Amino acid sequence: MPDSNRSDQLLPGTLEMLVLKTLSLGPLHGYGIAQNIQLLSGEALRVEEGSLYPALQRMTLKGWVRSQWKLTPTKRRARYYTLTAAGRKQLGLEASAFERLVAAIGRVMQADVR
Amino acid sequence: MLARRLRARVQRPMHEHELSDEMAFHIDMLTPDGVARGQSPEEARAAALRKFGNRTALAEEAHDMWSIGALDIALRDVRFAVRGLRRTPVFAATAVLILGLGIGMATAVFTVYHAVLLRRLPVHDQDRLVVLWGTARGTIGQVPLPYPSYLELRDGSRTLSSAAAYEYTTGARVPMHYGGTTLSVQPQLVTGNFFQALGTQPFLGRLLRPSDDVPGAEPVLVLSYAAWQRFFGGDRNVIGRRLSLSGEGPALVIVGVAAPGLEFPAGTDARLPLLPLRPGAASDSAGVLVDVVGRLAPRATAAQARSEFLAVVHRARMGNPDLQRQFGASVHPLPELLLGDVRPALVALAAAVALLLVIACTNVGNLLLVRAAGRGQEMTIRRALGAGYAHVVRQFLMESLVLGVLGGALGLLLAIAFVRIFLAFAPAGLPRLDTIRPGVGSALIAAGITLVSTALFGLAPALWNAKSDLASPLRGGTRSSRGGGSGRSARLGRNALVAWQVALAVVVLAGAGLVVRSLEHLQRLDLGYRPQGQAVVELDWPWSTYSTPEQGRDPMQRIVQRLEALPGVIAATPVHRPPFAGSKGLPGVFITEGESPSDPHAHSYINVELAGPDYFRTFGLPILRGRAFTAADREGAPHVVIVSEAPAKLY
Repeated sequence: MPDSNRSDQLLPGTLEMLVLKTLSLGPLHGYGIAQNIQLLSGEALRVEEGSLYPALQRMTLKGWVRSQWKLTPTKRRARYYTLTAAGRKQLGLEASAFERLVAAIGRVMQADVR
Repeated sequence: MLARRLRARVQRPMHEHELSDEMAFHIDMLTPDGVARGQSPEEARAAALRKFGNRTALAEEAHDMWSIGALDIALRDVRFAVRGLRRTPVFAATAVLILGLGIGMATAVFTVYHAVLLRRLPVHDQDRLVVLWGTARGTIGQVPLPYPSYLELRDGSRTLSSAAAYEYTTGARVPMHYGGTTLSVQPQLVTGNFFQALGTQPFLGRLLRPSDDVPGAEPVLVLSYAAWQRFFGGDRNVIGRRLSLSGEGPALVIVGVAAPGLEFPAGTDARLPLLPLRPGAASDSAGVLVDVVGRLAPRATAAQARSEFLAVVHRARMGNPDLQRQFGASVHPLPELLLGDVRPALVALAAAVALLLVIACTNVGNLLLVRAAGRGQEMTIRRALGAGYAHVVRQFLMESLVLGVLGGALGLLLAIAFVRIFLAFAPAGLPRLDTIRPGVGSALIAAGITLVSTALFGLAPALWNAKSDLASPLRGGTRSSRGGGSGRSARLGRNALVAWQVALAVVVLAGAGLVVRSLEHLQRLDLGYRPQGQAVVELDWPWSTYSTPEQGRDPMQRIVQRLEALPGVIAATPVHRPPFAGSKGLPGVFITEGESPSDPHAHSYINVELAGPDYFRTFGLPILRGRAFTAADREGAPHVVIVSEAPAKLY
């Protein structure tokens, strides 16, 4: 069970958006996606594998990503995920929604006087 | 999205496989981290596994994502039902057999019913088409219309938007030569607008046009669908071939084949244009008589058409008010004319088969109830373990469904066989017989009947059994150790079902008995003459090559003499029309001695038959008064007639 006190927890609902964004930079396998998010966030965010793979399956069923088994640079067989056009569109929608949310929270937090 | 989910479900095993490969890869990728930190390979792997988390939970979550809940439950129920049925194979086989027979018979009969009665005729707006002919008091015969009167009707009718006609014939067959063979064909002379009035499309080639119906036009011929199958085996190259009447005139060119189901009067094989073969028809003296088929005008009713027709009939006999009074008219919707005769029989057959199906379903339902009675304990345990009422009902229904589907499949196969048997034994005069075929329609009918039957026999036992009392079966004991299904009310229920079945069976038996009695009665009916040992000989003789009747007399007499000389033949007679071949004798008028044809009373219409000297001996008809014909009643002697009892009584 994810510990809600840990500071490297993902905000609920943002996992899919982060995965979509990661894949928009190029196809990756599951391990690579987790590493990438960890790296790009400066080790601040850590993806739970138990959430990652179900999320990837969900996104495949919804048609946002598709997958293919390929060979890694080290000649191992891995499943690579690619963003689809629908996925790209979804990324745009989720990103703007998230930005609006963040801006709204920010406005509340920056209020000096009530 | 749904398509993807279906595909995911179907490929679920593959997905599970791939996921486990994926997870293995991920874990392998995590392992080197531990090694880099100085752990042994085993420790590193254990650390990686811990880091990865609960693989089983992940696999289960993914599994659920690839599943369609309802589908999985249904499949599970089906597997369970099949297993249950396999444990009691005798019951399953019996139930499937009973269902198969019931569904098979019902499907066969409804296939025939649909093909003959329900399907639309291949004409435009069949309910607006009517056939009209005249009637006369005192005789069942038709009184056809003179052709000039038909023209009057056609051009001036306010109730018929189009009127065509066909020649009133005695239905005799005509020999036609084709290649080297002779075909016995029943032709019908029709007006050029006949097919247009019907609004029908040809099956092959083209249909007759008004331009074919002018004196001097090239004689053409349209085959009926049945004749095309019977004489030419459905050969599509038949267009353009020629048939010739015995030695007379130019050959007829086959220009088309009509759509199936339009053979009226029954048995019509070919339609030819009227005027080329009856050039003088338009004049009153030609004596060409027709019946009319027409399309009702948009706001006209059949009764109005009949009145108008009657007026035309009366105008044709204006000089004879007395004669006029005897004439009436009758109007018949075309579908009735084509199909009306068989409707009662088919409806009775359908009703009987429906009853049989209900009996079969009740039977199977009863079997299911008895079977479920022995499963009361099992059901109670399941309910106690948490199966909902709906779940148990669903289980029973699934069993019924499996039985139903198996029974339906067997029924479909049997239905195909039954239809073939029916076609082999069906009366040749059944309309649209040639279009009855087991096909996709049969499969649909079978599926529908199966569903209805399953609901009938499956629902009640399912609901009944799921309600069984929870506590008593588990308590054991003599009275209710076998569960709710063996309680007193359950037994009463089953007895009621049996009683119901017996009642239905009695109804069906009674009906069958009545039918057999009627048939037997018909066979023993006194026809007024002795039909045993009679044969009808159709002659293919070039009568039309003789220019006077006298020339034909000698050959005819010789033929009759030779026939009578055959051992075993008592008497032979030429007839114009064999008995029971329809009401189409020659129209005649009865005039009492001393009166002239234009005398305005005591004239009546009677149906006349022509006969040879041995007519009465051949048929075994007794003469009540006077004498029979003899060889002396021939050319030159006074014309004589012998009347039957009815006109004799009238006069």
